[in-house]
Formats: sequence, structure tokens, C-alpha cells
Amino acid sequence: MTRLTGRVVWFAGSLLMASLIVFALLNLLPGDLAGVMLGPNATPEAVEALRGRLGLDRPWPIRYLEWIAGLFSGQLGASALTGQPIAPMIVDKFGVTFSLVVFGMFFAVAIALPLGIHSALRRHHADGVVVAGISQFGMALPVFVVGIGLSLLVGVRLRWLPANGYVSLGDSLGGWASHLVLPAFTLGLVQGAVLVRYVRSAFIDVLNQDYFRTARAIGWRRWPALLRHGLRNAALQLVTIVGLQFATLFVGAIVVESVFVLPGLGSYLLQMVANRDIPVVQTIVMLLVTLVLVINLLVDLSYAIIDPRLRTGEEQDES
Amino acid sequence: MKRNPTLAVGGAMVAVVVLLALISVFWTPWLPTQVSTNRLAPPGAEHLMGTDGFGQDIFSRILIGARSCLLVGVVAVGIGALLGVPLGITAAINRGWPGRLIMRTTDIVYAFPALLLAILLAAARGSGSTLTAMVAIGIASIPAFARVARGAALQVLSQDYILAARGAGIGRRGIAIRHVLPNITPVVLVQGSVSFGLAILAEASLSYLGLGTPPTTPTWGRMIYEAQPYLYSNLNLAFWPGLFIALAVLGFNLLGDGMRELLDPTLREADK
Repeated sequence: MTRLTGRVVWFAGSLLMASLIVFALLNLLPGDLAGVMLGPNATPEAVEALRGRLGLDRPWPIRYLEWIAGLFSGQLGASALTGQPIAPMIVDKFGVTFSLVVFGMFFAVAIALPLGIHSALRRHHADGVVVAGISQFGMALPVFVVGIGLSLLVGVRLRWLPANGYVSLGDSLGGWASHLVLPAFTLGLVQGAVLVRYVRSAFIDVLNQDYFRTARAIGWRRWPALLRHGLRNAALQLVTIVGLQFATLFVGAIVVESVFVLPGLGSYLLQMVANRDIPVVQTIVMLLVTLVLVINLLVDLSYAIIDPRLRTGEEQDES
Repeated sequence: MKRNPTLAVGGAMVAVVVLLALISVFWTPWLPTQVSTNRLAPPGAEHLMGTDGFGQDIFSRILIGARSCLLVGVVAVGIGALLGVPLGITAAINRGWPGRLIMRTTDIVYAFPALLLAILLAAARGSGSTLTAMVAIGIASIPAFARVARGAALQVLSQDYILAARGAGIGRRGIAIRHVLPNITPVVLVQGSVSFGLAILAEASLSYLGLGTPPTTPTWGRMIYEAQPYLYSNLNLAFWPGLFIALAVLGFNLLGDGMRELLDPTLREADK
């Protein structure tokens, strides 16, 4: 089996396993789903009625297969409490979350790449150590603390940007962008603090390599040598971590949306958890997990593009 | 200690948190849940860090919060290490398809970040609790422990004395327990320290989102959540819990880095 097909087959297997985990956690744990959804004060008749409406009396394998079939055909189902179809809602909210995450990643890389390279080059000097220290401190701050702080400082005190809320792209381009800057910067700052460490150590690796010393010896200046020879080698290590960070950003977005009152997928998910609308929670969590797995697959496949040595098609033993 | 300032600083920060938690077992200046009319008082002699919106003493709540913070870290890291390390060692000893299957399975758990797992558990249970938060954070940290343990175990298994032990007729289980486990313990401790910091951050986020510890027990994340209505007028309420979360996480991160340097002195040469 080539590396590519092996990876894709494994991806399909992972999706299957993940869907079973999500389904099992919500449906097979002891306790009555309809009872949980209606809360402790519900009458037995109401619980029984909801059980019937959700089809909870039927065996779980059938319910599982129906759910999966629905996901594949784009029939994401309806809210158990209001009966409204959730697909249009999810598409709408996903757009908000997606723009937040993409801008967040942009800020993270824009912060981490120059700072990381700088602190690698200046690792024996005070300023390089200071950057490493700031990154340590940034990693220790919860994302909601950073968000609250930025919202208070930039939004309330300085009034440079809206402190929270959202304007859709269709209504006003400027309004949309200005409402996204602070949340995305929050997300990017926290991820950037983590990323700086990886950029730094990837470039320190490059600086210690023979080919880099040779390039310097034959007269290449430091930055050109780094950009010409170092970037691609460092990128190999960094693609993995940036990819994995993309996945964590989608999860971090849940918290940031909550701080900045953005109507994204994360806020929607939390609202549905509070409403105890389990079928909707099940579908949204599955979508997020799928997203994480897709990102991991893309990271794996991208190795072949960056590292020509992996294009031969042989499966490498990782050990 | 002088040669490893990272370890010393990290250790000191962690010691402060542990000390706060220990003190809270025996003494708090006020009852942490005692409501009074002295609302939103600034820091002073009577209330060291001031009072919150209900007139509760912030310092007392910080003390109790240290306990919740350590409890969550210990249980979550315990779950991650007790399940992840044996899985990693097993994968290293059985290098064929069983090992690969184990590692691939932990990869799937990787697709469930702590926050998502906690949301799932909270939804299944009707509401979040300290237990669902700890279990979710613990399960989410299993893959990291499995990976670290497997990598370190592979290194140990390539040593000559393992060959000698095999020659002497010691079985796989004996080798795993007598030779591999003691030799990978330092690396696991480093991962434990890093995971501890992550667990504190995750628990704070969950408390902030209302998916963690219920309101009756003060936690640092929850205190920030409760401070939100007063943010514009009184930053004091959110400042203290924010400071102590950062202190605890930074402490465990530095402790982990320091231990890593101690284990691998070449790291210091290459890295600084």
C-alpha cells in the first residue's frame, strides 16, 4: 500500500471510530437521554413523549446508522426542542468561526515567525532570551483572560475597535472586519506564544546544521542563507505544528466567541449544551472532530510536497 | 539550583501554589462563601485582596481555588499517565501491528481536545461538574503520555542490558516493569509537569464557560467568570484569579523545562 492510500484508509477508519465515540458518550452512558434533556422537573409523560419523538425506544445501532446516513446526505437533522432544521444554522455559524480561525492563524504566524527566528539568531543575547521569556508568559495566560484584557483596553478604554459583537459581511465589510480583529488577535496571540517556541527550536536546529555553516563559509549572509536554505528545512517541522494548531484554534474559538459574543459555531454549541439539545450537540461535535481529522490528514499529505524525499511512495517506519 | 534557574523559578512558583492549598486546608481569613454587605471593597487590612460582588473575601477564595486547581491537575495527569504510559510501553515492546494499532488509536483520541470532551460529557450528564472536567482533561492527555512513553521506551529497549535481560530469560512483562518503567520515569515526569499546566488552563476555561466546577466551590476560572459584570468598574475582581492562574501554569511549564534541561544537559548548550 502506498503512503497516500494507507493514510486515506486510516482517515476513514478514524472518522468511523470518532463517530462511534461521540455517539456512545451521548447515547450509551447510563442515564435517560430524554430525562436529561427535559431536566429534573419533567413529568414522566413528557419524557415518554420525547423518547417517542426522538425514536429513543429503537435499538442504538439503528439510531447510529440513521445519524451517520443523515450526516453523509447533508440531512443534519433538526433541533429536538424547536424542530427547526439545523443545517442552515450551522453553515451560517461556521462562516463566522472559520473567518475567526483563519485570521487568528494569520496573526499567530505573523507574531511567531519573526520573533522565533529573531530569538533563535540572538539566543546568546539578552533580547533573544527576553523573547523566549515573554513567550513563556503568554503560554501561561488563559485565552479568555487575554480576550477580556484586550477587549477592556482596546475596545473600552482606547475605543479603537468594537469591544464585542458582530456585523455580518453582507451588511458592512468594514464592520465585519473591525469586529473580527480583536477576537482573532486574541486567538493569534495565545497560539503565537506557543508557536514562537517551535519556530525558535526549528531554526536553532537549522543554525547548527553543516549545510548552513557551509553556506555561511562560502559567503552567504546570515538572513539570505537562512531564507534560502533554512526556511524549507524548518518548515518541515513547522507544518506539523501549525496544522495541529489549526485544529486547536477551532476549539479555542469556542472560548473566544464566548468572550466577544460572536455568533459562531462555538457559541451555538454552548447554547445547545445549555438547552440540553443533545442531537444538535452530537452533530456539531462530530463536525468539529471531523475538521480536526481532516486537518491532520492534510498535514500528513503536505509532507510529500515540502519534503521531496517522501515522494517515493514508501511507507516510512516512524520508529 | 544555581546552574538551573528555570527549575528553581518553576519549582518556587509551584511551591507557592501548593503552600496556598495547604494553608486553605487549615485556615482561611473568612469563610470563602460568606456573603456580606461590604461589596467590592478594595484591597485593605480587613480584606487582603478586597471583596467581590457578593461581599465575599477574594483572598479566601484564592486560597480555596488553589486546592481545586491542584486537585484537577493531579486527577487529570493521573488519568493521562496511568493509561497513557502503559499503552506507550506496550506499543514499544510489541513493535509490529499491535504497537501500531495502539498508537493509531491514541491518535484518534487526539482529535478530541479536552474542551470538546468536556462539552460532550457535560451534555450527556445534563450539566458539567468538577468530575466531568477532570475526566475530560485526563482522557485528552492520554495520547501525549503514550507518545512520550513509547519514544523513551524504544530508546531503553535498544540498550545492551535489555538484550542481556532477554538472554537471562526475563519475559516482556518483567522487562517492561523492571527495566523500562524506571528508566523512562524522568521523561514521564517532564510530560506530567507540562500536562499539569495544560490541565490548569483547560479547567480555567471550562469553569469560565460554566462547564466545570459548580458555583458553590470557588475556582480561579469561575471567579473571573463571576467578575465579568464588574469588569468596567472594578478590575480587582478578575486580576487576582488571573494572576494566580498564570503563576501556576507558568510554574509547571518552567518546572517541566527545568527538569528537561536537567535530564539532557546538551539541551542547554544547543538551546540557549
